[in-house]
Amino acid sequence: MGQGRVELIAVSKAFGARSVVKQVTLQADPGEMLILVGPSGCGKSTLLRMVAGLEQPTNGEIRFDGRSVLDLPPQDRNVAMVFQNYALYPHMTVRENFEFPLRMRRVDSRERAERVASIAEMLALTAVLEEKPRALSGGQRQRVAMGRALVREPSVFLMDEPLSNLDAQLRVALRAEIRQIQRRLGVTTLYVTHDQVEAMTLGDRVAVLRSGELQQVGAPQDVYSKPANAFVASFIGSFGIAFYAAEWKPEIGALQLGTVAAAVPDSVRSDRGSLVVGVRGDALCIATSTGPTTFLAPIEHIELLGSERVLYVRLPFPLWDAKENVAMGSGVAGTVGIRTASGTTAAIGQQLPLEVVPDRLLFFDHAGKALTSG
Amino acid sequence: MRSDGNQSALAGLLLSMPAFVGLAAFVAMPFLAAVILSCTDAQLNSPLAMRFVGTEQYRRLLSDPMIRRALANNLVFAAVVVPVQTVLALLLAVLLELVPSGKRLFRVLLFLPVVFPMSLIAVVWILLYAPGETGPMNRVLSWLTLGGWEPRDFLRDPQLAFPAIILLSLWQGVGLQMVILSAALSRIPKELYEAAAIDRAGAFAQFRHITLPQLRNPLVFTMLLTTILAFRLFEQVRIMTHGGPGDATRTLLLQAVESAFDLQQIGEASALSVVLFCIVLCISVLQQVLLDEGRRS
Ligand SMILES: Nc1ncnc2c1ncn2[C@@H]1O[C@H](COP(=O)(O)OP(=O)(O)OP(=O)(O)O)[C@@H](O)[C@H]1O
Ligand SMILES: [Mg+2]
Repeated sequence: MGQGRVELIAVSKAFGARSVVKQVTLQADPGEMLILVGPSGCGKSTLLRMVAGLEQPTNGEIRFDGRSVLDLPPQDRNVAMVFQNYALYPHMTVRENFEFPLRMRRVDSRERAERVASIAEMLALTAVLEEKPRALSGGQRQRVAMGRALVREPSVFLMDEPLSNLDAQLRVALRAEIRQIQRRLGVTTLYVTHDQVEAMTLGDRVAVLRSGELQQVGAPQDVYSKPANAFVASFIGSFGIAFYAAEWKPEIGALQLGTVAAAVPDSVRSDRGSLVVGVRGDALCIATSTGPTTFLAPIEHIELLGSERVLYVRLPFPLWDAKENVAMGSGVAGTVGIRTASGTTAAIGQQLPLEVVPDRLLFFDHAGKALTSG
Repeated sequence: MRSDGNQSALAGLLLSMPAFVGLAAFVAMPFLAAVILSCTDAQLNSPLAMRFVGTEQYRRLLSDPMIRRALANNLVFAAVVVPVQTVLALLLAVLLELVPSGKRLFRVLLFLPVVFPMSLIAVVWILLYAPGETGPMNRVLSWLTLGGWEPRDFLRDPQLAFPAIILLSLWQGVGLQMVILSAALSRIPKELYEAAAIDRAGAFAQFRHITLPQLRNPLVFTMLLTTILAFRLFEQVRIMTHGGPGDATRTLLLQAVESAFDLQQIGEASALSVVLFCIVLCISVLQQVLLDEGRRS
């Protein structure tokens, strides 16, 4: 162990004239689970394929444990990959699919049988071991793809949206399993997902990509609470974020956000005057009394999540004209979801009295770059 | 629902009527006629009336040494051509995949012999097999053996005539098999090879565990097609050797044609056709069974 450091150094990839990955420098430490997230088409799969050796970078360097692997074919990189489109061997049964990588490594038949049995059990595929992939459902196929990678003990796992096709329950269960196996084996893992909940809960660190460019790498909590820019802020987080144009008013020593004056940390008292405020649901609380810092916001949409109820409100502040600086996030555009206990009475159209929690606000300049707040 | 099903079944029947009529007129009727004629001693040039002889013709066929030789030749032809041509076609198809550009051109070139009429090909190969030192094939062999080759008259040499026919048939037939396999080969999804590469399969293992199983059905199809064609071997030998020298290149179909049109032995020719038909039918049935199995698994 202690093996399996993966380094990408200024890696770029172009297909013809189209630049798909741009100067990505990224490192996964031995045994780390690094999550790659980003919108569709941002180059996540391409990045994984370059690490696997299926695609040659146009520029840059890829190293395993300090050694360049660019001239190694996929066979010699000792990676296991879950393909986004599964790539199961259609003429082999599930068992044979699992056994194939082991056979190619000359694992003896007794050990093969043991490993296949335990993987099949873990993925709830024991009953279909003798079936061909064609006879399986989409979710089962995806689990076979998963199993074919997990049955090995590679130095790097590459997983391209391995849980995207599963129902919520199975997804949560397998997420935990993957994490456990990965920890137990101590195998460095690059894990691609669309799902930001997965990104937040599964990994040691999260790398956010956007049109081939790396936006930010960090612990999930840091990426959530200290996003490097408005794009990351809008991509990470479940219940939406809205961006407003605000004005720093030195004469009152506060930030003018629509009609509300909010106290803000010293560090963002910029001299620039005009700035952008990102507001997530957790930066708002329901006001119990009215005052100069409270305001009313209409509820536009209600989501019931079992024990919680999420109220999507539209804040009466001037919206920031974000151009292409933000992701098409969850929730209704321009609204922010506030989590409340499910007992709360609320109806669509109701005016909710709110107050901002100043130290949960996020601050950006008009280009979308975060203003460091600490 | 039910009447819908019935209606579409009826429509299907109606639509397939022309094909059925065609099949009946041009396949079933002649076959029936052949079966009936094969039980007679019909001869076109005989003044005697046609007599019913039962299975006499078939018994004669079995004991006729010329027919036995013809059947043996067909079997040898199939035994050589099917494996050799399949391996060659597969090799060419795989090599073609590796060609970076001009794949289409190569495919067309290799397919050309299939398109040319056999009569033309046969004439060209008669020239290639010309006897004497100046014959191109003799020259090539002499060059390959650094002068050690004694010029032979291929088509009149009892030992070489049939191999010469086989060689030309391979050259002519490999294109069709290659094109079918090549098309199937380019339909194998790339990611299977990618997955196999990551699972540490080298080029040979990929061929064995991905390419071959993925080509199973086209391989079965082309091999059995070639087997059928082997039993229909006729034009080459008719044009180039007339079954000779001796009976060295005699085949069943040649024998049937000769007894029907040269000797006017309609009864015997019919019996031979029926036998040939049954052989081909058996191979076709085998093909269907194997292909269905392949599809199911
Ligand atoms: N072989 C290729 N040839 C040309 N363009 C390609 C090729 N592979 C990928 N691309 C392009 O590169 C871009 C990134 O593709 P990639 O598959 O890496 O995206 P992704 O982030 O994995 O998206 P998704 O989340 O939808 O899977 C896409 O615009 C795609 O069209
Ligand atoms: Mg992808």
